[in-house]
Amino acid sequence: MLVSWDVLAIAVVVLVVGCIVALAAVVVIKGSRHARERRRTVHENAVRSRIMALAVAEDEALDALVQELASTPGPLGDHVEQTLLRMIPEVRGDVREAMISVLAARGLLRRSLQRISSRSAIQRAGAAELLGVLGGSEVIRPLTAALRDKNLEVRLVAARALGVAARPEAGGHLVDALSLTSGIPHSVAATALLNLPDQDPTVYIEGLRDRDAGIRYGSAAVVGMLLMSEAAEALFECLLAEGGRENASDVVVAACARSLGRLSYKPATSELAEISCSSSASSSVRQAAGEALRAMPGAEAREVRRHVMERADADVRRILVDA
Amino acid sequence: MPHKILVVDDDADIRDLVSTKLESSGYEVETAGDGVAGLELATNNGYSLVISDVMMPGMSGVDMVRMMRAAEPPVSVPVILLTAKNQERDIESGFAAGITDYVVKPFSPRELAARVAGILAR
Amino acid sequence: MDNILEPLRAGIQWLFEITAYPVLAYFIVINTSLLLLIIFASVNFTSHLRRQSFTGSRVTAASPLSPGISVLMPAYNEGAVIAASVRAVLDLRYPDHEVVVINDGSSDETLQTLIDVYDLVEDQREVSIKVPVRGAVRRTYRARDTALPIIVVDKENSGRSDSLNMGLNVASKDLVVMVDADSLLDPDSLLVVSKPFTDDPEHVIATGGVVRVANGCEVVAGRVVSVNMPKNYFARIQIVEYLRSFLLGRAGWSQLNSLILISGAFGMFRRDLIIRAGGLDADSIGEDFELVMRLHKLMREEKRKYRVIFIAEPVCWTEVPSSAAVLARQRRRWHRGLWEVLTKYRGMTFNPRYGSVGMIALPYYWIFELIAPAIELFGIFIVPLGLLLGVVNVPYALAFIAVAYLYAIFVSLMALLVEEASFHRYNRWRDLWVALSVSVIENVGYRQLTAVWRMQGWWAALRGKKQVWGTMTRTGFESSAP
Repeated sequence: MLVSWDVLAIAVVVLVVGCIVALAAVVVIKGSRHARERRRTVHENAVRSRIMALAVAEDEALDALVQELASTPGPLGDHVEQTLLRMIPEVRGDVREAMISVLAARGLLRRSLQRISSRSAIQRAGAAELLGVLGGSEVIRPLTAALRDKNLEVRLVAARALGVAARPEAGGHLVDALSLTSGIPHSVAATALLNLPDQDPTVYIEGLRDRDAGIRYGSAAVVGMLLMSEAAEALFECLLAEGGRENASDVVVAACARSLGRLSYKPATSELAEISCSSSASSSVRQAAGEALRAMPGAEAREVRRHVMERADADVRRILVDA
Repeated sequence: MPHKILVVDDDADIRDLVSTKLESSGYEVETAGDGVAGLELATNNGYSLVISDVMMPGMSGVDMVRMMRAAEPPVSVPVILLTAKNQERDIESGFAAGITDYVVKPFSPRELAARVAGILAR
Repeated sequence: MDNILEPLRAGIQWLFEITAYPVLAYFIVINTSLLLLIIFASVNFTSHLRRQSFTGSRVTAASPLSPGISVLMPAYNEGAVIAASVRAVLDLRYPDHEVVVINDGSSDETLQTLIDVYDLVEDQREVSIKVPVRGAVRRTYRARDTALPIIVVDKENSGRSDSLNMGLNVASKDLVVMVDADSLLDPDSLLVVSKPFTDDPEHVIATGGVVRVANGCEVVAGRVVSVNMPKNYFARIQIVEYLRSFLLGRAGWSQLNSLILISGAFGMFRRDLIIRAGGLDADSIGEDFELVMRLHKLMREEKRKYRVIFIAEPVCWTEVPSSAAVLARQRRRWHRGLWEVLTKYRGMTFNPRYGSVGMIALPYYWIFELIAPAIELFGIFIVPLGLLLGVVNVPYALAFIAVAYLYAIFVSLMALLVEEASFHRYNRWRDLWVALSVSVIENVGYRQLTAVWRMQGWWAALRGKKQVWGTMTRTGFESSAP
C-alpha cells in the first residue's frame, strides 16, 4: 500500500474534526455578532434620543443631561461613549463641547491618559487617538511626548491626533516631528500643522533654515498652504540656498516653488522660470516651478511665461498652456 | 403650518442630530438615508427645504440635486449641502447643480439652524 | 482479452508505484504551505483589524498634502456604463484625484457619451511620451470646466495594456491606480488603498486591493449598496474561490513581503517607478502580474528596501463570469498568463539574490499554481483506472479521495471563518449556508472543469498560439489558490 491505512484514517479523522471546529467557530462568531447587533439596537433605542438632545438642551437642562449621560452605567454607558466618539469629529460648537464634557465626566480622558503610557503599542496608539478627539490643553503634553514614542505607529497616530486636537502650542513639537529622523512621514506631520490655529510664522522661518530636509519641506509646504506671507522671503531664500546644501532635496525645492506660487511672491518669478527650464533640475521640480509660475499674477509674469513656453519641456508647457 | 424639511444623510447619527435640532426649532422633519430615497421624497412631497450630505451610497447629494433640477417639472426647493472639509470640488459642482447654500463638516447644528431660518425667511 | 489487460494492469501498477511518493510529498507540502499561508494571513488580519480605528482616513481625506492619484480607466465599448463609472470615480472621497479615460478605439458611443455628459472640449496640450505606445492617439479631450479633473484620450484599438500605457503618459499625479470601467468602487477605496503610501512613502511601491464578486449585490448608480449571494451556480462558487485566494492567499504573501500578484482590477502604483520600469508589457497576457514581477526584479536588483502591500478591506467589486464558456476563457487566459510570466522570470526562481520572492513565492507559484491542474487531472484519470483494473482497492481509494477533498473543504471553511471574523460582508445566515454548501459542491465538477481549462490554457501557451480572445477580458489577472 502507498500510505498505510492508519495514516489515512488518522488524516480523515483529523480533517473531519478540523472542519467541524471551523464550522462551529463560524457559526459561533456569526451568532454572537448577530446577538451583539440586536443588543445594540436595544441600547440605541434607550439612549439615542438623550444623546441627540445634547444639540438642543441649554443651561441647567444641558448640565442635567450631561450628568445623566455621564452616569449611565454598564453596556448602555459604553454605547454612549461609542456614539459620542463617532459623532464628535463631525460637529463643532456647543454640541461638541457638550459631548466632550460627557466623555470627560465618564473618565475617558483620565483612562486615556493612563493608557498612553501602557506597555502595549496598540493601547498607546488607541489612547493617543482618543486624546486627539477629546482635545483640550491637558492632552498636548502626553501627545507631544508620544511623538517620540519608540513605536512608529504610535508616533504617527500622535502626530495626527495633535492635528485633530488643534492647539497652537503643539506647533513647535510638530515642526520637530517633520524631521527625517522622526520616521513620521512629513505629509502627516505637515497636515497636522495645517490644522493648528494662530500660528507663529517665525517658527516656520526658522524651519526653512533648518539643517533637516524634512523640516525644511514641511515648513515650506505649511507656509504656502496657510498663506503666511511673512515667511515668503525666507521661503525664497530657502529655494535659492537648497542647491548649495549638502543634503539638498528635490522635494524641498518643489515645495518651496509651489508655496511661492500660492503666495504669489513676485520677486521669485524669474528664478522659477529659470528652474522650470533648467536641465539640471529633475522633472518633478521643473513641474512644480511651472505650477508656481502659472499662479503668478500680473503682466510681467505673463511675459515670463511666454518665454518659458518656448524653452520648457512638454510637461511644463502642458502646465503653463492654461495660464 | 410649520415648514417641512427633508434631511438626507447616510449617517444615522448626523440625520438624528440635525432633525432633533430642527424639530426643536419648530420645523417638521422627514429623513432619508440615501440619495435615491431622498430624490423620491423630494419629488413627491412638498418640502420648504432640503439638507443633504454629499457622500452617500448609491447617489451622491450633488447628483440628487442635479436630478431634482433636471426633473420634469423641476423640483426647485432650496438645498443646503453638507460637505466635507477641503472638498472645494463638491461645493463647486454643488452650486453648478443648483444648491442654495453649503455647510462644511464638522458643522455646528446651531449655525445650520440659523442658516435654515435665514433661507426660509427669504 | 487478458493478454491486453495484463500489461496494462502492470503498467498502472508501475505508475502507481513510481508516483506514490512524489504525489504524497506534493500533497503534504501543498497542504502545509496552505496552512502556513492561513496562519500568516491571520497575523496580517489581526494587526489590520486592531488598527482599523486609527487609520487616519478622515485626516487624509481632508489634507491638501495627500499624494495625488490618477485613476486610469481603459474603456472598450463601455458606452452603457462609462458615464456612471466616471461619475463614481470623480465622487470618490479623496482630496486630489483625476480620472484618465482611455477610449481604446470603441466602436460604440463611449466617446460621444463622455463628450456630452462631461462637456468635453479638445485638449490642445501636448503629451510627452514617457512610455512607448502602439495605438495611435486620435485626440485628447478635457472638460470645458477646467476644475473638473477628467482627461479622455481617444486612440486606435490596441488592447488594455497599451491603453493603460497611454494613460500613464497623460497622468500627472504621483500615484496611479488602474480600474476597469465596470468595476464598482467603494467611496473610500482611494483612501484605503493609498494609505500605505501615506504612512510609508519611502518604501511602499505598490498596493493591491481585494476584488470581490459583484454578482448578486444590489448596485445603485455604480455603488454596491447591499451585499448578497448570487443565484448563479458559477458565481456562487467564485465567491468562495475569491475569498480563499484573496483573503488567505494574498494576505499571507503580503505578510511575507513577497506578494507577486496584484489584481489588475484595483492595483495602485507609484507613477515614477512604473514609468521607469517601462509601463505595462503590451504583449503579455498576464500584464498585471508581469508588471509586479518587473518591479520586484528592479527593486531587488537595485538592492532597495521596498514593500508591496495587499489590502484586505473590501473596496472593489467586479462582475465575474456566470457562464461556463466565459469562465473557461478567463481561466485559460489566466493560466496562460501564469505560464508566460513564470517562464519569463525563471531566472529569478530559486535565486537567493531575489530574496523571499525568488526563494519562496516563485517556487510556490511554479509548483502549486502552475502544475496543480496537471496533478489533479492525473489523479482523476489514474484512480478510476486503477480501481477498474483492481490495482487499488475501493475503500482505500475512497479514503484517499476523502482526505484530498476534506482538506479542500477545510481550507474553504478557514476562508469563511476569516471573512466572518473580519469583514463579514455576507450578513445573513442564508449566505453562510449557501457558502458552506458551495465549498462542498465545488469539489465535484467545478474543480475538475477548471483544471481542464487551466491545462488548455497552458497547452495553448506551449504551442505558442496567438491570442485570439477578441474582446478585452475585463477582470485582469487573478490566479486562484487551489
